[in-house]
Amino acid sequence: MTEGSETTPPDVPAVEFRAVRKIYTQGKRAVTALDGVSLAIRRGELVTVMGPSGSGKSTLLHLAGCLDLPTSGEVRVAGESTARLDDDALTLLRRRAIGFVFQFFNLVPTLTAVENVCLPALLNGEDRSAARERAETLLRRMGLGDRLDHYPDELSGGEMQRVAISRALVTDPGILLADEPTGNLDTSTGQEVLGILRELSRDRAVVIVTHDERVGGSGTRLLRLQDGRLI
Amino acid sequence: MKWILRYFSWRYTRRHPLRAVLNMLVVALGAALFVAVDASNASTVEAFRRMVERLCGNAQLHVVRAGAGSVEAAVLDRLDRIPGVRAAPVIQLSTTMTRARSDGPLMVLGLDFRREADFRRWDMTEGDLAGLDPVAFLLRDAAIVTARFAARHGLKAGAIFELDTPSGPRPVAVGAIVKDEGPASVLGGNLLVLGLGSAQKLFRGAGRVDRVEICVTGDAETSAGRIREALGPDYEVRPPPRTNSMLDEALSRIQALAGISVVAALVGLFIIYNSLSLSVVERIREIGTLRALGATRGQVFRAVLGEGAVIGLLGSAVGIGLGYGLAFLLLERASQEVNQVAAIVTVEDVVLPLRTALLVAAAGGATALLATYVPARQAMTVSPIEMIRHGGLPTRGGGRCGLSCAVGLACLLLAAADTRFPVFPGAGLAGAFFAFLGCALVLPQLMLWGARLMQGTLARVFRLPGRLAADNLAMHPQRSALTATALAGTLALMISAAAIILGFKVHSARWMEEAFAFDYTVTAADLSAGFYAGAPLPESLLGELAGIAGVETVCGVRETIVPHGGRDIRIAAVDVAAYARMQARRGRTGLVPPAARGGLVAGTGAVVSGNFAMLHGVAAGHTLELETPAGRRRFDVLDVVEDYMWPQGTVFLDRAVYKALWNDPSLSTVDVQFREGDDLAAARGRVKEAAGRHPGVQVLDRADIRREAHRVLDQTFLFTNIQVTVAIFVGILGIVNTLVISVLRRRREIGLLRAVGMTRGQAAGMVVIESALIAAAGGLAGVALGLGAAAWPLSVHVLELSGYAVPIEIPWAKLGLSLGAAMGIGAVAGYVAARRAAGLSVIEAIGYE
Repeated sequence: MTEGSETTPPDVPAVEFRAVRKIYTQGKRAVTALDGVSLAIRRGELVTVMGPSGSGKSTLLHLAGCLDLPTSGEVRVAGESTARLDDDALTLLRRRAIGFVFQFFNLVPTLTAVENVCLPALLNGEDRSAARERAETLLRRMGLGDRLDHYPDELSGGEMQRVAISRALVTDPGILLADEPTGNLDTSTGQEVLGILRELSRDRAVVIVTHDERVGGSGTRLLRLQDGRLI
Repeated sequence: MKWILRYFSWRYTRRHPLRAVLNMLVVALGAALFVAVDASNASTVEAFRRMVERLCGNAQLHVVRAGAGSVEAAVLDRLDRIPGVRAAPVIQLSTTMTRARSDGPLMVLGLDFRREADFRRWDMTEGDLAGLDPVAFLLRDAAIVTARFAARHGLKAGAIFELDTPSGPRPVAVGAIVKDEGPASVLGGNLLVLGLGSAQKLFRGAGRVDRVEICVTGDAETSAGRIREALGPDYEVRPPPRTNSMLDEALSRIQALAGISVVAALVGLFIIYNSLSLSVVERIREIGTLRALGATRGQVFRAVLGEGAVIGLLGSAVGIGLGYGLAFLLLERASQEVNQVAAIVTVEDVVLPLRTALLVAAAGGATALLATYVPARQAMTVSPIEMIRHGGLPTRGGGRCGLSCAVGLACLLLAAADTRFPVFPGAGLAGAFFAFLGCALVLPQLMLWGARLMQGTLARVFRLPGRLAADNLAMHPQRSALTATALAGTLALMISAAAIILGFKVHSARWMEEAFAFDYTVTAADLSAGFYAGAPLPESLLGELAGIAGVETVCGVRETIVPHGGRDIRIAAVDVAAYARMQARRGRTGLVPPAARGGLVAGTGAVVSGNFAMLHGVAAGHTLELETPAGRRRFDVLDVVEDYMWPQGTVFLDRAVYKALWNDPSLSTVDVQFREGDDLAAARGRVKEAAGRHPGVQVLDRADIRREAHRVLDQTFLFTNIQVTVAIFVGILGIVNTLVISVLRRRREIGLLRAVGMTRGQAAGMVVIESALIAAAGGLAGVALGLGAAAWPLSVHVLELSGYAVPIEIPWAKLGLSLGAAMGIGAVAGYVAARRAAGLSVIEAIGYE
């Protein structure tokens, strides 16, 4: 894997939470999804986050991924505080510094595998042929050299997840966030994907949210959440 | 940005080409009609301008009688004494070739050939104007005909043909044939030139001409001043006219169709909004993914807006092309309308002004952008978190529509005020627009209340599916109401057009029954060309018809079009005493109220039509001044009567009075009434035999005239009916779209219901019930909007254009058809969406946890 282009120095956490609280309003009820969470994740770490439903795992991922802002406290991504950023600035930070891998792959059905992988680079304003070259390289490394021009409905679950991982890496982000990446895969394919993520964590910070104990135990550090707090 | 358009917008469009075509078609529909109307108008005006230019030649000024009437030829002597002024007398009129009346009117110019060389160039096929045989033109009535006219009728030099004149058909010889160039190229070759003497003898009377044309050396304005000084206030000196009030009147009727295109554009707006909303909902996950991957809100917004812009521009381009083609069809109609009374213009080319094309492109783009704005904002606000968490948009919607209801009520009040007090031109159309908009804004609240009110009933009758259908309507009243409004709009177009047409038909039929006292009328008018496109009949026909066995009364009528108050009005001169006898036998008064008879016969009074009174601001008891060939005459307005024969108004006089003032003994029609109990079918044959001596004459009864009048009405609204039919088809697709959106948005909910035991049939039933409710709302709103818009705003529009205040008739058959169509549309739309709902995989639908 290449050197992360948007990486932070080893002493600066890639993702940092400082006393973060996140409260959602559901109807007339206020729900505290995260309650005073502080953590730091650095390059080279594969951090798994576990907890029962409603514990705040997804919220943690969303805040780390610049998809949302904390109610109080501070979230720092790639050394930058998200507190004073507007939606466009958060989007740009997300585009440069973060790669997402979703449980249900979320590939665009009308694009081929290589076009799906190119998407973040093209959104970033990069040259099409350069983006395509990099996308093809990533897909070949994932063993999908013969599936470049296939559409998602022509790929297996494992193949789709590998395309999704390639897409997450095309801008060479310093942070990779995976939401139940093996949740929709069989055991052996899931192990395969996990192995890829483990390898990727050498050069970047990787955070995996999971229900699966086996996945939870495969990282360099395990964070457990309960009722919005780290236990 | 271009990659979002390419990968996000274009790929999606490629997968749904039919939807893209539908959206473009909707824009094209409104654009095409507007372009067709504008192009046919512009072409007619341009053709008229070219015709005037060619006919006027070098003439810089015209001298005409102030007001109306002929110019005395003696005026020439005074003009010839003014230095630098060259004058030529001209007679210009319309008539028909006796054996070819169906070819339409011929323009006849009566010219002084000795003076003509300064004004126009006539290229003879042999020799030139100066070389014309004067003997040929003096010893008999000879005409210069165009090469096209000669070829069409197989005429050579010296051939004899007959022209219709006020004293009947008269023989005219072909004195010379002129090439189809310059002035001879106008009106498709339907132009004859007579020597001035022949024209006066045959048509105007000795010593009279219609105008004197002037060429000057030096400044035209200075010369005009000298001419005015020399001639005094009895004459006007002005540049050749660039327009004609009959042309303007006919064009304004065609222009009315453009108003329909505005309403069609509104319907299109809703259809595009629906369609694009569906496309956003279908692509929710892609949008969420794009946002998660780093697409900004602005990029997503601009991408969806860009789709709308492309729809608008492509739709406009298609519409412009379609409209250009339609203009050729409309031109034929416009020419018939314009040339009904006199040969005014022949339009051979379609002119499409650049400003029209640009305006349509801008309007089409703007309509599509307006329709796209809300879906674009929806796309922009898609939360990646919601997409990740739920796999779609939250399913609970808002039921608040109080503000839109208030604005809607304000619009309806504005529509009512606008039409009750129409203070500006176009108030009728503006009122229709506000009525439509008001309905669209009020309907959500009405549907919300309706849904809540019906929840109990639907739950009792249809159990859970019925309850859920009503519940869903209540949760999303705006979306459902927009679809219902689009459906209502298309149905309203159909109903309002039908109500106005039926109103015209019913009231004109009633009026004909009241006004036409005859059993048969004899006329030389070819009704297929127009009610007034006919030659005059000789007065002797009265005696011939009176001598037929069984005839009790004959009544002569002369109709002519004259300028008055900036318009061309109709003078209807009737043998009042004979008409009154005919009506008395029927127990009616018709167009001549008893109190008015004395004044009419004495020549001191006139009766006017209702639209004349409205357009010219007169009423019973006022005084009316008319310019006649015998000078200006004052008449007391004795009464105002209903009349539908001429849109610019009619003045009724006694025929003897008209004959004396206009020096015109000829007739337009002769009405015949037989003795009571006579066999009318056999009587018709006797009339035909007696009148058959006069070529081209027809014998008609009231039913024949009514039939022809209805045919003309139907033709006028043909384009409206075509557009309404297409709009209804497009409306069906709009409803299907909305219901499919509804199913997609409730994917998870439907999946959960299926998981806990709802059958496919019940799921489908829920969707069908919702569809039926939307369709019923649309149908009822369409009826209300159609009748409301017809009863007020559009009838004001008709009044503005024609002066006719026609009460609306409720088209019950069309109402039934509309409601039936609405339910049919609901059934079709419901079926398509229900299949989707029933076919949802439970596992996939609930698999977003």
